[in-house]
Amino acid sequence: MHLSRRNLLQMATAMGAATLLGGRFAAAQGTQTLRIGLSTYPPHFRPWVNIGWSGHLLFSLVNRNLINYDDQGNLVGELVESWSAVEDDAWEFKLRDVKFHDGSPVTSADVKWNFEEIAKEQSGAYMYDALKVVKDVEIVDDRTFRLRTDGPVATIPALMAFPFFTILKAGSTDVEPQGIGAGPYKIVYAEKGVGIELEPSEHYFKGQPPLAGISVTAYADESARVAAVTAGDVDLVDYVPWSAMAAIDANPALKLFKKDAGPFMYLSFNGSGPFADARLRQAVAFGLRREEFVKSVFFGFGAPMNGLPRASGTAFHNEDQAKFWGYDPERSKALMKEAGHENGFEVTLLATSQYSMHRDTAVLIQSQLAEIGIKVNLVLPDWATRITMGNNGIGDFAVQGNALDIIDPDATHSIVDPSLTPTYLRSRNFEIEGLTELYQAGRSELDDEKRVEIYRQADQLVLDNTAICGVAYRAQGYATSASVQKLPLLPDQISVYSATNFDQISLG
Amino acid sequence: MGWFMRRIVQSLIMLWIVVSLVFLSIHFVPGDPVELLLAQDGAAPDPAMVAMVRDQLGLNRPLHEQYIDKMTELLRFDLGTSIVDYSPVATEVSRRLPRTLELIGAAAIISLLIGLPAGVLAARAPKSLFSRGAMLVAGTAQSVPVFVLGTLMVILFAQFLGWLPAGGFVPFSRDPAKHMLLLIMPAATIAIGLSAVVFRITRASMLEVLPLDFIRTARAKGVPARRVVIRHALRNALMPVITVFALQLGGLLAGTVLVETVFNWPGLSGMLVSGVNARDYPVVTGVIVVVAACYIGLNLLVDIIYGLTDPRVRK
Repeated sequence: MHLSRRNLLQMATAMGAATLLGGRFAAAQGTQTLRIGLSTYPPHFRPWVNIGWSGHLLFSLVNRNLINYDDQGNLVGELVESWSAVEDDAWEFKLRDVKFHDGSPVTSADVKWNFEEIAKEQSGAYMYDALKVVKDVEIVDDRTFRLRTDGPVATIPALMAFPFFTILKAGSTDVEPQGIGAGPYKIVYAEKGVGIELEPSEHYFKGQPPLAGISVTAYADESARVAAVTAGDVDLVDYVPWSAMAAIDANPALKLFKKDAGPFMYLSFNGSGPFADARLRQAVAFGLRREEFVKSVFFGFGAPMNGLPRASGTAFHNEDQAKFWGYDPERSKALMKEAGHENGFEVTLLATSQYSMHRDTAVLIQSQLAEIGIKVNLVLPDWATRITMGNNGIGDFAVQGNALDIIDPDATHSIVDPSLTPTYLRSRNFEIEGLTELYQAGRSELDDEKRVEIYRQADQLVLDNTAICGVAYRAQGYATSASVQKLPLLPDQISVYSATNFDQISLG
Repeated sequence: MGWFMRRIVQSLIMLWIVVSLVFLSIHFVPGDPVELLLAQDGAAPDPAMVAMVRDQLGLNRPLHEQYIDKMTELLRFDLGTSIVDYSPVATEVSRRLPRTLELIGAAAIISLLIGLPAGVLAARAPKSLFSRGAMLVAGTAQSVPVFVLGTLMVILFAQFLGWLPAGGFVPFSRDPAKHMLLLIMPAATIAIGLSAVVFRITRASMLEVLPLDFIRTARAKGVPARRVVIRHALRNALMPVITVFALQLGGLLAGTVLVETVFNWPGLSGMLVSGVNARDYPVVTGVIVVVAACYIGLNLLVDIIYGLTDPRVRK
């Protein structure tokens, strides 16, 4: 090789850079530590409290539920090996031979303690309301317990897979705020806002986890998060922005794992104004070109939401109902005419300017509804104000974004039933006759085929009355370096909770 | 002595006004911290539970009672407890303030190393190509928003060249080398704009001083040119540079939010922004108190130095 001055300079620069950066790259390649770039640093480590989807990702690596979903959406035993309805008002669960991080066995007494802690008024637990159906936890023996309910409750197994319903060692929250769990990894270092480090638990019931450790850094800014995984600073990031999905997918050094029908955007209605009339709600639902939302708000990564969110692989998915709300402007105009608003009407739409998906959805709704004669005035405060305004019933309708906690069809009840306690998340000030009763019947029915029929009827009531109006599913994505192996995602609307299956992630 | 006492009392009154304004404004802005706390990612908490937690946190009490409590706390040098994670605000501020100060300090050093010599050189030959070119570069550097500059640096040095990490923070005690690597880009991003300010003020100030009689006298006495510029001219031209520089640094205390966001640097600005978003009243008030105290303290210090060096100021 000819040793010119330019070659010499290039070699010197390369050697200098290699010396300077050697440690960094060696650390990335020489060990099996997975570096995660999380969209939010958990606001706190208190157990059972909903700390958001990114917080759930972290907790899923540390704790375990009694029951979990597999990647097909089937309920599978996690800390329990089996369960069955032994009486109309009792479900019996048998625990596996599993241990907490400190080596002590998971017992029925521990499970009972978790139920009791969640039921305390000040617990702030996400499950607080949902678990009210459980009246008592009976300890049969160390590894068998029964949940007593008021009458039959079909959703009990699904509730055990509820996000943030992890089982901790009895009394362990007195020692450290997050308690002692039974997950694949345990927290060994955490500095608020900076990072968290996990190491494998030698007592994990599925065997030694494949990684030597996990290092978590919070990247709240989505551009910083994408830059971090692109630059190789981290191996996995959650909540990939839709604007970056195409580039990540095309990058051979990266992998994109996503579910197109993930969380969803929808409209809730306030019946204190024009939307008291179901025909005007229907007019809105038939006046939207949903493909445009997918293209312009989610850069093509999503799917139109023409019905209610029912995971496609389950018996509760009905093809006709899934395509119910098509674009039909003539039908919208006819419904408006029938309701006495032939020349249109004016309404206020509540959304937020803080999150682009909410803001852009609102702007597009305003533009599309103008075409059928509905004048929409936008109210776009910051997120905190939007929640308060929503809780106070401001706006004729509101842009909402959500996912489901469980695959069971009962999960949609809190979203679609306007007669429940008013909150910023659901429709209010009108009723749909028979809907609450149908959901109650579905919850109490233990026969699967009968449940399918009950929820089909409930869904039809919601669709006919447009209790909510689906807009679009948005893709839920994780980006990883090419070396990441196995990232099983949960189906559709519960894909945001996929981290419950991240215990088998390894680096190739 | 009366002048100094007066300035200190004025500073304390200013601090009280700032704290009161922040306390009132954050409470009057719509948005409920408890609703936000319990409404993570699509959760709709039961209104009864919201009311119960509000009661636990004392947020249902009359505002004047909360105000008196806050002022009493502050007089005891207690910044309160976060509504979100129940941690002491002072502990978190004491963790984050050094990170922001480190960022600002590094940027200050870089900007002085670039801006001062460049300003002096440009003033010595104001019509030279260097001077005109430097003015152009400084103008451009000042006009580019920091988040654009930061993003471009990430794309170039992290994603394209792979020389530096894209962002993040590692405590110096855990990994000194990585800590310094992570400091380079955010500090440089702030320093580029700050260098331009230092350069322009130094150049303008030197241009005012260089034609003065005492400089001509020094030259006539045969003092070497380098010594005239550094010992005589620069010394006299530094006062406005120090004043503007101090104000710029004070502004950066809570003004590094974009840089902290782009580079994921967990400093004080980020804490303030997340506090505002979560309506975490104690966090917002606590951070503002600390920033305002630093800013007012810095100004007080500059005033005292002025007063000591120039007796006319004290009259």
